Amino acid sequence: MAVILEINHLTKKFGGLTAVNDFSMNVTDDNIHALIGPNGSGKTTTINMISGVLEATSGEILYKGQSLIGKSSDEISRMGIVRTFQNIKLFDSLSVIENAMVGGHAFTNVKMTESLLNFKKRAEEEKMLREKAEEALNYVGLYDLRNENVKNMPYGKQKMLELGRSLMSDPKVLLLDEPAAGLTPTERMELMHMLEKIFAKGVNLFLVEHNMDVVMNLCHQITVLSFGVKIAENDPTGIQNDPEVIKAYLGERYNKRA
Amino acid sequence: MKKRTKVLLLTGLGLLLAALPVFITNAYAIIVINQTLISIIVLMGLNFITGLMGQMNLGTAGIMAMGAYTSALLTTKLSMSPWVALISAVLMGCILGIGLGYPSLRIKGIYLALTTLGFSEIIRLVINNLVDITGGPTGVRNIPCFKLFSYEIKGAVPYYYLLLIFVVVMIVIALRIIHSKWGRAIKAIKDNEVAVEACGIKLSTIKIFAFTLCCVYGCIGGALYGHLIGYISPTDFSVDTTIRYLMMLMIGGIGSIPGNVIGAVVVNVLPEALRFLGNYYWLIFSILILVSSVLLPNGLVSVIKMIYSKVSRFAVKGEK
Repeated sequence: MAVILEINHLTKKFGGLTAVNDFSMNVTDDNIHALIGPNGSGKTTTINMISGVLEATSGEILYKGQSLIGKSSDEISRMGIVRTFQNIKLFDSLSVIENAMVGGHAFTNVKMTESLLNFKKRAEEEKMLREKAEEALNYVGLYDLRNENVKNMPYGKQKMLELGRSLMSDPKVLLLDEPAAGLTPTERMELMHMLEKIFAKGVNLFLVEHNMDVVMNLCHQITVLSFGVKIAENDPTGIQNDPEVIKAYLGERYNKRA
Repeated sequence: MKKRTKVLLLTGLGLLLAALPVFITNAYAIIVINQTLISIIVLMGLNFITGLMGQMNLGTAGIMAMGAYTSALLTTKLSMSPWVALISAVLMGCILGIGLGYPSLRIKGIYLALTTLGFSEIIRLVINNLVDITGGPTGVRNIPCFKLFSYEIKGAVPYYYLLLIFVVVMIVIALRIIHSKWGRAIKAIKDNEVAVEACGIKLSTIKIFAFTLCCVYGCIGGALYGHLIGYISPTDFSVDTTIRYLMMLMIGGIGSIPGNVIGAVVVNVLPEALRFLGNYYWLIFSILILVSSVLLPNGLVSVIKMIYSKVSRFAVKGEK
């Protein structure tokens, strides 16, 4: 067990509103970690700070001992911490496979001038990128739709494509912002299997999720946020029996069912 | 089959373009065609930023002016070879691209449009008032023509061939960039900047690269324009010029190189073709442009694409 992500006393203030308050947490490499909590409890803000989209007001984020504070989101992504978005962010004017290929852009090394002059090298790289993209699309079950226009795909497939795109950069840590939101029960099952497969490949998963079905069955460690404050951290059974979590988020009904 | 048709079409087009001066003997018509060719070059540059990257650039006239004046002043005042001056114009394009690219990292949309417009106007005003160097409102006269060894590329027809070579080369370069990973990244920026960064791509590199391309294309176009007319003045590079290029971009089809070519041809040639209408020609032209922009928001190139897909579907049916 090694600590992958270490968050110490992280605070984010938007003017007078404290979105995340003195939040500390460790993500280790032997479990799938979930961050749950009511709406507006600061989950997405936390992911945004880890991925460099938002700057933390104070506190520190360490990835394998290296500070992520002050790094831009593209730098963080190149370090291997890749995220997906709550509201899908794809490239509508590109085809499905091209979307995936943009995901691999940062890891190619043919320079601009080479790209113009060296036909062979460029073609090789393009082929390599395309093959890799095909592989990633195959992984998320979109290979048959690879030449489709992104806009014509249903919501669930678009989410899968975003996951596929993030796999293109061979991530070490995947930050998934509500991966199961808006999916049908079947798609949700597929997603869970896929995430388990990805985890088994050695990618660390950290997800923010509202769907208790996914969280309780997939994750091994759960952190609960409420109004920007961490109220609990435990395994799924522990969380389901935690009176404070039940009061703040899960509700009395969940208690009875458990 | 498909590739062969393409090759045949391109060869046909090439032969037609090469033989064009044989059919068109009117010197004025050739000059209009030369201007069209220059427009294509400048427009392809604008296409990188406004067409593919989706950032409004209203600085086209200023960029062209910098290219034109760099080349014109170097050849007239320092009597440099036009070829060397052209390379200097390219370097000027790189400098401008980096200078204009930096603000685009912080501002977008209407604010970027105003910044680039401001840049363009500053350039024009500086040129207008720096009388000692630029000649001010009287402009620069007697810009020499290109020389190939001892042969002077003088007159409309030889210059037409030179421009044709330039246009073909620049089209090939533009196409190669658009169909590369760089082109994909530029298009991705138009759709979603945050997601581009999340993919690990450094936004500033791609943006400055696109702006540099735009400025290099614009400066080459400007420099070639100076050598075409032999005389430039600040009035050639007013806001009207910028608007004209935006019009071409929209008419042809945003983001597409064939669209750029069509747009440049239509906006340059159509008003001349409508001259027979006398005083009304510009009015009729404006109405035509307005109607086409309402009916064809994706430009004239969308019509060609539609016909092409219908024809190919028909051909497939025939084969069955």
